Amino acid sequence: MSAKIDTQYDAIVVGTGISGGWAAKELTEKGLKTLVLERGPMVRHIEDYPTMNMDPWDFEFGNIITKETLKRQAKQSRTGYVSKEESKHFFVDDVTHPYNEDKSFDWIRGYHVGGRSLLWGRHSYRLSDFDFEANLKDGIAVDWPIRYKDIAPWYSYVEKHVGISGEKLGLPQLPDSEFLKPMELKCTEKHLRESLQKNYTDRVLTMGRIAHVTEGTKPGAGRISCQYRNRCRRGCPFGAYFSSQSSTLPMAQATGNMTLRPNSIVHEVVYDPETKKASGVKVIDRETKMTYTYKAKVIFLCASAVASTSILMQSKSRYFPEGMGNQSGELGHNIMDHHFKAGAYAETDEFEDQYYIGNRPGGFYIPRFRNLGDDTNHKDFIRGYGYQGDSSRSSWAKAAKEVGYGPEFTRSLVKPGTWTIDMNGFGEILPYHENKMYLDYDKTDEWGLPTVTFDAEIKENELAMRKDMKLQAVEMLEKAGFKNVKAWEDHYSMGLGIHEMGTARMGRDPKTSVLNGFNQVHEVPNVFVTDGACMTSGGNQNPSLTYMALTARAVNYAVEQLNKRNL
Amino acid sequence: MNRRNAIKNLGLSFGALAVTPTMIGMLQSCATTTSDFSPKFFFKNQLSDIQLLLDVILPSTDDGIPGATELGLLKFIDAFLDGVVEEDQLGLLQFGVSSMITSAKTQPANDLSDKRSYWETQAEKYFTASETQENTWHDELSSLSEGVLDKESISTGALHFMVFQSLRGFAVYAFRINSTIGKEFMHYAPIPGQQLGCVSLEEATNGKLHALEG
Repeated sequence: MSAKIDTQYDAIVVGTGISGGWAAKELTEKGLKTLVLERGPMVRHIEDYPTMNMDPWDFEFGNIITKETLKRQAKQSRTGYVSKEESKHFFVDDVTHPYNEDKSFDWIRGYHVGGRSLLWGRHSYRLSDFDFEANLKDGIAVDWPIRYKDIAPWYSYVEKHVGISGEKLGLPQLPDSEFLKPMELKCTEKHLRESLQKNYTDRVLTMGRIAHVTEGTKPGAGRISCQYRNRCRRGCPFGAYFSSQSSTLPMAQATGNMTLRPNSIVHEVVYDPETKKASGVKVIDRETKMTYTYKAKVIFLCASAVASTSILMQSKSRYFPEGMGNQSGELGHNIMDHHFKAGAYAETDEFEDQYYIGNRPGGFYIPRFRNLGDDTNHKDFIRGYGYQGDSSRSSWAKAAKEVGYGPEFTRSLVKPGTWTIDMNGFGEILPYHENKMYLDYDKTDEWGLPTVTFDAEIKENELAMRKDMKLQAVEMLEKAGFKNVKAWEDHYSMGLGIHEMGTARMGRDPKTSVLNGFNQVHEVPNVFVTDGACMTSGGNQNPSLTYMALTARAVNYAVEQLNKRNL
Repeated sequence: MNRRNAIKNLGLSFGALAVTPTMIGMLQSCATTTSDFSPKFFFKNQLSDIQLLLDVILPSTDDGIPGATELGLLKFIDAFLDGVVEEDQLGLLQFGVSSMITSAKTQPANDLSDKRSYWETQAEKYFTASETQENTWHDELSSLSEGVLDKESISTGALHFMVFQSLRGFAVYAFRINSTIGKEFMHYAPIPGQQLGCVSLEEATNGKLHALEG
């Protein structure tokens, strides 16, 4: 079925997640009539958060992944958490949305208004010049076309809106944000922090920098301070953490300039050879399967790294036989993530008479301390990793061992158990050209669109880093006097970090990169890509904050260029 | 391999799950007798023994905490096994449960009290075994999870040890996500409203475990 409704807008934004929400807000606030397209259904703030107030006993089997869920969400369930009862409805059905794996790749997606902004881990860290200069220094891939000074004001700009709770440290490798007050460390974490201060000159433990309001309010849908329920992935009725629903989309809506169209699967950017610019996008309605074409002066692809890249790949014409913006041949290559699931665990009998109040929605953080110069350099790998960790008293292992069964065992289960502490390294993955995604036109989805195939893996540098992640975690916990210190490592496949990056990288040279320093497709100047696809390298920091800053910066540039009639 | 991972590798350990902060859930809190439901995993003729065993593991206490029987944990665990645990793991567990029940039925028991004594003896055997004995069982179970041994070849001791450990894990999970336990016997704070990282246990929860952590 086909029905052509050509409607002209100033701007089109594809995707409503972290990047799309920001593009929508910035474009509409600058006065552009903006069509915002989302492939999935509408999710309204608060009213479409069905599990937000459910207690554990309100779920049939508890908050767990059921066999029924596994049948439809086998790949989403590889995370071990996103398809639990509390949030499974926000993640895709793998049967309806298939993809292919030449090598194991965990592609974890939320197809709905708000995308993964509703579901993210909320850790928010700036990149630094250690990251922006890394490829050039190491002679790897291509150089970033920007440096920290180019993005720093835009980090500040978005942070003032988002609200990042955290502690100023003055570290060159992890620049401070515009912070709200940090959440508090637990007793065991304070102890570890003191031990690091005593035993190391290069390491510090701090509270995770998390996108939660911890004091005052932030603009959007009536955002107030975190209530410390830690039910964030269900959607927050207080708007306490940053999401498109709580923050950017209501602000875009308030301008009167946004048209939001859910259920709109964008599959192609239309190229006009006369103007040498894009004229619009082609859309399939998810429900009716009707097709539409929408036109605009400027297009922002913010559909997530893999989806935006897939749209460019499908935008083939005789001018772009290998996909729009793919003159370099780099489109779909250099895919990155952050590797994790290697660290250490420990226990302590100390602090038995101490506990905590509130369910803190995030853990502690140990910033990168490797390969920052001088004696921090490691002979076996380049780049670095940070640790995220947490501590709790929910273990019943000690009671099981000492009591085993009976009334005393029953009593032990309603009391806090031994303190445990866990550290999990999050490391940088290098941008390997051969790590790639491509389209399979023989295997199409129910909308007749090609499916994505992944061919990517971690290599020697990451494997060597993982050994160090375990080793250093053990050493730090042992030096702090914890007991039963154990290194641990679980299987990691690319994608599991849910930080897909790099498939339409920024660079200085159109021959080796897809985007320029303003996220503009080299060959099609009115098309911008500001999601994870743009990343030239990945750093070891959680990347969403960088997408926000790059998006706001790119919109500012695009509107300037439009006003100068350069686009 | 790590001996302690043997049961986990068989997919039948809930010890690991129980330390996950987000691992909280639900349970029908009505007390259940063994005759008023149709089991999905257990066989009807296994119910009375499993009910007794669960009550030996988690009995009510003299200070008023309800136990496995009062909380209806058997019914929940039966439904949970059917709804959550994979078929091959269920096959192994049922193999072990059947063997355990067969052993129990060969013991002379005049009344319920005799039967309870039997399960208390068994609980003591499997929950308070020496480290050397546990290691022997873990080694056998490791061989099972690695496919070196099949389930018919491992010793009765190792098989029953696995069942005891598994059932205790499921029982603890069910107990801790029970609404009565959560609301009345743990610290239930659905909207904490504040976060303090390091305070005295008495001030924080009056000595109780957070019911909704995670």
